[in-house]
Amino acid sequence: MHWLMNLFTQLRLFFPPDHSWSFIWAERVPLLETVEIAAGAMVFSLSVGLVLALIIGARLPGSRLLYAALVSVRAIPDLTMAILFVMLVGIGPGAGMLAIAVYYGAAMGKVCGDLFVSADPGPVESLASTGTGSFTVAFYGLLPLRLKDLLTYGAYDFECAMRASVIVGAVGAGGIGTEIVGTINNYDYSHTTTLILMLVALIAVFDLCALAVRKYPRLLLLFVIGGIISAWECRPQMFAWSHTLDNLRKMWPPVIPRERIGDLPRLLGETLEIAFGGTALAVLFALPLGAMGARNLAPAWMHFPVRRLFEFLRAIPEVVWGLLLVTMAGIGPASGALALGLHSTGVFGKLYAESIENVQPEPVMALAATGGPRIAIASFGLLPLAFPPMAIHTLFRFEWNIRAATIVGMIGAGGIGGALYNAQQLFFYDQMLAYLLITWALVMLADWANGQLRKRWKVTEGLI
Amino acid sequence: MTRRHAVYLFVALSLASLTMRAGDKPLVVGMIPDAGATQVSIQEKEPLKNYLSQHLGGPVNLIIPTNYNATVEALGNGSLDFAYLGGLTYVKARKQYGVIPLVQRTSDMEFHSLFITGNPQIKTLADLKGKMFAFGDINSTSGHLMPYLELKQAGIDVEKDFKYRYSGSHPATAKAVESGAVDAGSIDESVYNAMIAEGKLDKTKVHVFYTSKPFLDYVWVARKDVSKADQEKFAKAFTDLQEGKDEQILGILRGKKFVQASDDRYETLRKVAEELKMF
Amino acid sequence: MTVLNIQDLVVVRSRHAPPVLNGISLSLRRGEKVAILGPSGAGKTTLFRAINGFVPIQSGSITVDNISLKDLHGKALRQLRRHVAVVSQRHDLVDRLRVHQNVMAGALGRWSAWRALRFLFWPKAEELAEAEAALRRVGIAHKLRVRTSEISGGEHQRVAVARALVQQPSLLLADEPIASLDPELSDQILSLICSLANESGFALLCSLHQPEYAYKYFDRVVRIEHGVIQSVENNQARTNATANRDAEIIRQAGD
Repeated sequence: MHWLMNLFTQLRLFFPPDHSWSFIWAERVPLLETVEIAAGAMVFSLSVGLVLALIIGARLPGSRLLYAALVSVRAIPDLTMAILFVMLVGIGPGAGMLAIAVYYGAAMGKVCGDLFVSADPGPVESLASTGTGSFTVAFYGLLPLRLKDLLTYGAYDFECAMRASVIVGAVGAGGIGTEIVGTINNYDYSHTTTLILMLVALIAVFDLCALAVRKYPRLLLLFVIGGIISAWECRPQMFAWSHTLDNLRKMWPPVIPRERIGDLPRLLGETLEIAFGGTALAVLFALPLGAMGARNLAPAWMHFPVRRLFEFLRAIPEVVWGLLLVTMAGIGPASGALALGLHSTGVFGKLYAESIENVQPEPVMALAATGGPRIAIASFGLLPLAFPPMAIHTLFRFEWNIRAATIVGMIGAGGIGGALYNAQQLFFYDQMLAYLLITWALVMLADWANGQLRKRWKVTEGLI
Repeated sequence: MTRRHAVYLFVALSLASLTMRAGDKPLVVGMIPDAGATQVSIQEKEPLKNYLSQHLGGPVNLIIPTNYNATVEALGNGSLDFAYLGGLTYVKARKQYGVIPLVQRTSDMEFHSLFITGNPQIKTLADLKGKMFAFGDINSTSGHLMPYLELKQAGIDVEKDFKYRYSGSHPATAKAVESGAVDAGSIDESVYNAMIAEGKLDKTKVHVFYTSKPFLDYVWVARKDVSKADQEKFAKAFTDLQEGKDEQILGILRGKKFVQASDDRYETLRKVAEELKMF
Repeated sequence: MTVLNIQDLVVVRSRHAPPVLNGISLSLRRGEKVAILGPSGAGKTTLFRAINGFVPIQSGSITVDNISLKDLHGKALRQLRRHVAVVSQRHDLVDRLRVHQNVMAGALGRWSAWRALRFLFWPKAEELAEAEAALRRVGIAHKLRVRTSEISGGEHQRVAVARALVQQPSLLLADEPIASLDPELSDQILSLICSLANESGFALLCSLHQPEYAYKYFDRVVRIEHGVIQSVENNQARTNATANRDAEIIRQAGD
């Protein structure tokens, strides 16, 4: 209870937000930096990711090794990646941009590689029978075959990377995230609120961009030009080769001091607690809220504000929720779980509402014709019918939340992420690497388990 | 030389050129974010920046990285020329990158860490058992290292006897105590006194219940490759500061007078850090 | 006793399109069985939805058990819906529930929301007995606890009928109940609902594509096209059997 009380007493301090122009004007610099990080990273990750995907799709020599490499890179959570790049190329937006570029480049390569591999073999084989090289086959056969899926995934990737560009700042990789951490450390909460509102607005703009790209893929070209300029603007300016090598050397070999080994089960337990707790909390919130947000179930005065609430919850990344909750309610897994819970509620709420909206209408109409109360009709018809897509969404998110649990751990929620961050902060880079490897193994394991379930349920990643 | 070697050489040279610095580049001065790192806090320090660029005879850039670690790493990769470090960060930066101590406040020679609380029932360190406690940044000397030592000496096991968090900076600790988010916290005395004096902290809600034994803290350092001449100019800019004349600058630095610093004074601190496994 | 009375019903979908139903008048007494014939898009489904209160009435009136549907909202409308049960062509059972849950969904109109929720997880013995009794009347009592997705097309329709029985309606609307069934099953289902109508005394309004079934099972056959009733025939072969019942006066639309 003390924990909740803290939360509310502290919440007061965040209001009213400072909306003076001088402050907002001063923040244009980090805001622009965030946009540049996102745009620069996208150019890298989309172009490199696509080439890698084609190599995998064409099954060129070494493509299996490449695939394995991409899967492992993707298992390093993006904020962890950011911290690595901060160490390797110095603080500032350059580190953030590289981290996102590498992470989402690998994601793009892997997912699009999957798409290519599962492409219809007929046209590809007929092209190959002309005797041309396999990369040409990939380029002329695979690319057109999968263009639509590629654009869909590309736009999705774009959205994720943009959100990520906000959070990398939390570990010093530049942009508005750095400012949020700064104001929190300065106990400057009215400014924190302003920054968060700016962030929500920025993400809304990003969403509009992603929507535009989905609709008119040619706009991507415009973004590419902007991205190249941004990438140049963001180039790491504090890069020193010798320093990078030096830090890499300090990481090897990974060790965990003997007295800390006993802590490992507790740390892993905390991380799982954050992931499980956050997911469970979100399911709990999102079940009624999702029903309230479904247009075919709730009246307009209800579903409209509920949908806006989902958008708001979702617009604020887990890390930012985490920063706020850790500040308000104190460090520990509870704050982390709530952070994940709030963000995932936004995600689930939208997905659940859509699942409910997408059920076949006939059985529900038949139930409504019995004259039963709304709740009875929802529980007999809508919810059972919407259950399978809801379960799949929940499962996917749980995998994501394991990643996210290590990330919010870094900013104060504890667990393995916390251990990683503290080791890094205290310059024990060899320990940091050890915790990083454990995180990596955990995410790989979750990824694998999810893959098994997915195979059994015969669902594809396209569903998200 | 084969073509491949030529390519390697080209790559190596271009990487090397990235790291080289042109002659008239501004000197970059960094500070640990002991009082936060935002656009606003950098703007507040504008007078200090102008003062330094006058004395160094060239443009100066002032940077406040997000955390203590980042400040040290920035010295390591050459992106900072001078930096303001805490005692613990100094010994780390010295060990890893051989930074050169230049000047420190007279108050840094006998620095204290304050234990503050808003809870009248907390009177001694032992009363902290079972409470919520805030340290500053994990790398902070007055916010973490020395308070940790005091607590240990008072028989409190930090990992077991209470719950704690790292607030990230001294003002954050003070405000967390003031608002009741934590029961108590440890804080840098100069930050605490400045906040009380400026009215940023409510005297009726926060009070000091324990003061640590004196120790050596903050210091301004130079990266080891900075020219002797620049080092001397930089040190002189600080030792020249006079009370009554440079109030604004001294206010930003929360000090009264600056003196030469030397590495051997940090021996004790080094031992403590090693003992507490923070070094 | 008149169960359903429709007078000059006009339903429009949009202001610019021609009306979907244009001056329909029709009335049904207890126990009466009426078939509606007409091509797709003639307005049969819209008529049924209007009787259930799912489409707004532009002009004219509908009364069910002497209660007017017009201007009814919310709870009052839902209460009236209990009087009207629906069986339609397919897909109207919730596949993911078990048979007994689908059957008892017919009782939702008289149950509280709380009871409905409780039944999903902890059905009581008497509730299960009621579901089983309804299933026995449609001849598949043994399917009580089976997953709905695992039963055949004919059984599907029987479950839908059982659900309608549980609802204890005054009027059963069957919207092309045999559209996706083979001839043998079609005969089975139609004779089943007609005999149930005789037993329980509810009025039956059934839309069909095939005239031969209409004349085989129903008292009256109404042909509808472009939202207008084209003809009403008393089915002699059938009315003889129910000669003791007075013929209902049918009023045609003005044009």
